[in-house]
Amino acid sequence: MSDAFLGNVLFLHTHHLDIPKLTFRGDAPSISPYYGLTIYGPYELPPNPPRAVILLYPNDDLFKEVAIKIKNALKNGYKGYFPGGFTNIFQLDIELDMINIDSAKYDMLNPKSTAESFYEKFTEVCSDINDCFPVILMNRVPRGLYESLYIEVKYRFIAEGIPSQVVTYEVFSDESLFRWSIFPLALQIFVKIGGTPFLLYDRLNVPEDEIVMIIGVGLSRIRLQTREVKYIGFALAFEANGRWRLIKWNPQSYSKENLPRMLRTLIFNVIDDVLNKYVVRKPSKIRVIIHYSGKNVSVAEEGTIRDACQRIGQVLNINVIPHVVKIQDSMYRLYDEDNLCIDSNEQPTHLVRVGTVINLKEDLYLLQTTGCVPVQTGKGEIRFRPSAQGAPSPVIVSIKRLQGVRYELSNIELVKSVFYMARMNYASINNPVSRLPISVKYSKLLAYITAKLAHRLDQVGTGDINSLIPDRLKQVLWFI
Amino acid sequence: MFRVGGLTINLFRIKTSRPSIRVGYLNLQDNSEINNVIHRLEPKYGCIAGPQYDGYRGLEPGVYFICNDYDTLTNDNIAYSFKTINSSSYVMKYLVLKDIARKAKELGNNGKLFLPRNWFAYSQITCCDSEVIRYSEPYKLFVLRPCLVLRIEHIPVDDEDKLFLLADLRLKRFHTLTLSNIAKILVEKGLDTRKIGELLSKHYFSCIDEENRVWCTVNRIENDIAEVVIEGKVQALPLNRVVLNPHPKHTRDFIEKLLGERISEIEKIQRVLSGQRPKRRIENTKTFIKKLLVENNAFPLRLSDVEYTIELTPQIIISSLGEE
Repeated sequence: MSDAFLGNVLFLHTHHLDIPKLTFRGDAPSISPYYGLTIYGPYELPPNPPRAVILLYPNDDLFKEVAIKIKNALKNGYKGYFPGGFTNIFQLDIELDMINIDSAKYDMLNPKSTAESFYEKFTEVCSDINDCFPVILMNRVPRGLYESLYIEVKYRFIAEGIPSQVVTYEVFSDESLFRWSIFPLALQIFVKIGGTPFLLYDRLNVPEDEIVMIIGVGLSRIRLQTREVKYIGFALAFEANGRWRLIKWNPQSYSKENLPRMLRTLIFNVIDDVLNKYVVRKPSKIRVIIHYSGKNVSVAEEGTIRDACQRIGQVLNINVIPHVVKIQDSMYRLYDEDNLCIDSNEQPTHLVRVGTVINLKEDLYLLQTTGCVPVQTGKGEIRFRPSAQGAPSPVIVSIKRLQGVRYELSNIELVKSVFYMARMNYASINNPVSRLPISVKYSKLLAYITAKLAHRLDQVGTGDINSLIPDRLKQVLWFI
Repeated sequence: MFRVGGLTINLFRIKTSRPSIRVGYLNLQDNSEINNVIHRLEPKYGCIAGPQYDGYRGLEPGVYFICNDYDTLTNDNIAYSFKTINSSSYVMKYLVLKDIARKAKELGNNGKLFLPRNWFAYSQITCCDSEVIRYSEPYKLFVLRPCLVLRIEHIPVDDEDKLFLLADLRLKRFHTLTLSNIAKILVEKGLDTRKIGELLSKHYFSCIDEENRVWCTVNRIENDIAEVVIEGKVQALPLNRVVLNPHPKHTRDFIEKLLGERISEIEKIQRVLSGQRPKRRIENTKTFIKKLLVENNAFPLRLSDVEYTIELTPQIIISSLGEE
């Protein structure tokens, strides 16, 4: 504390948010997805599970060896990393089949015909596409490529309304990566076939006759092959318990003037759809919490969010209150001298506890989503450990105050909405809290993949981005 | 009431020699007009300027700026006025950052700093040490440099405006994997053009096409020209405008086994240094602020008649438990 007297002290409001528990089969709560899934099982099974998971791979000794290892691990489990296998953990009796394609037809630099070979083989062995789920083993390709085997394979299956899972040789041939990747792979397959592994047990603090809806808004700037540039706006709706309900999107020509209209239409349609399809009892009030990242919401766009909420409120005769929360990466680094947070080498890391909130200035908060986290061991004990390598940085959460809107939810409750959504991660089993909330993370993933897919639009002879994703796919999280 | 102990953060206080500063001011309300005026003021009149889009803590919206010579503005009939504002007010964060950028550019030109591509963007400066940590061997195709990423933050504390340098030390790896360098190495190894073309066609490249970097593949090379495919279209580009995808996970075998460049060693150093826990990282950040900014006289900096000095002790956040 001697430094304190040297004037390098900032007196700021800080808070600590407890890690919310998750809920599994039979509404059993647990702090850890691993523990919850292995002990209790998933929250909800898919309504129409496929008959089989088909693992497609190029007919080559190296690929075959990896494919056999994946199949065996999914079927029988893999040590303590994935105990008991898919059927045991996800309580679904699904066949696991391996099918190869002619290795002469596998060419990384000829992605279109290679993707076609995978697809043809899939339809050969599976005449009813609802009956099978494809897992495709291939080499890793650079992420930024517009034309790659990954994108072509995704596109080929998506165009037919089939969600798919890609696994790479580079990850699954490496033992140290394999063991940490097998459970997340099974989890993603379960989600893509329509299952719900877990939801939030703890909720935001609102009265019982009110509904909270969290909408993640994303924006993707895409360049078509014709060089035409478009915006695609996305809105993903989540219930307060983290359950994903639907995706809406709205493409517009690349023009800033079109953005407010696009946002208004998106938000109106999302709220309307969620209320029509999923809400049983009319609430007295709906709190719409909009999470977004990246682009600044300008004054004009803020106005449209408020208008959309007011309009839907008038149409449905419900009080709809909008809250807007921006989430950004930061380059802040912090440590806590008093918190040892010992790592696996028994070394102190002094990482800050996950859930720590610092009120840096008015309406602006630092939220530590990675750092020192409580985890539940296989025996159910809780202990703290670092959830990241190096020096993790907090995310910046800024609360955007809309003019003319009376606020009742406190800022901390809104920061909590971000933290709670960061707890929901169906792509990983090892991190109890994700760096970004799914409301933002999924919007980013969706923006990334549709930008790549939409780039091909003029090749498929349609200018309509909506038609890119068949309706059947819009019911599942195909893009995670 | 305050809790004892605290969280140390990579914010370094910037103190001012005077509480207020005299700056030029243009009263503007429209955001895009504010941006346009800043873009005109800086290159044409050699000023540094910052935007204030809304009224905030006593500052009116408009453009706040400092120039060496205000006469040119007067001669061009620009209707500006002077204002005396708090020397640590919100808009000063832009002016302080831009003055650091101006000095960094000079230091870059003198070879005292290494400035990477896009070193100054989005209110953020990246400047690297001119001394390298390690080159890869034997061709020096990769190099590791310590780099500081800098922002200026304005935080009102107990209703007092304060400015801070937000600084993070990163170990950046740069490369010179141009097709011209790669082809030269392969020719030295005795490979002919046909074989080289065959080897290169298996990889992804980044093509510099009209200043944009786009993904591409290489069909063949002939003399100093590469036939490349960008978004399905065949084009000819000079070899030095085609760069191999540098990410080791995609090109490790090619770089290590065919070119013979040993990258594992610098990867190991990078992993160790990038994996440093925050306490060590903030300590190292402090060391490099001293080396790159203080010892090169970027600090203290002088704006108008106010001196801005940096305190090389990171801030400690003490939690106040009272009502927000």
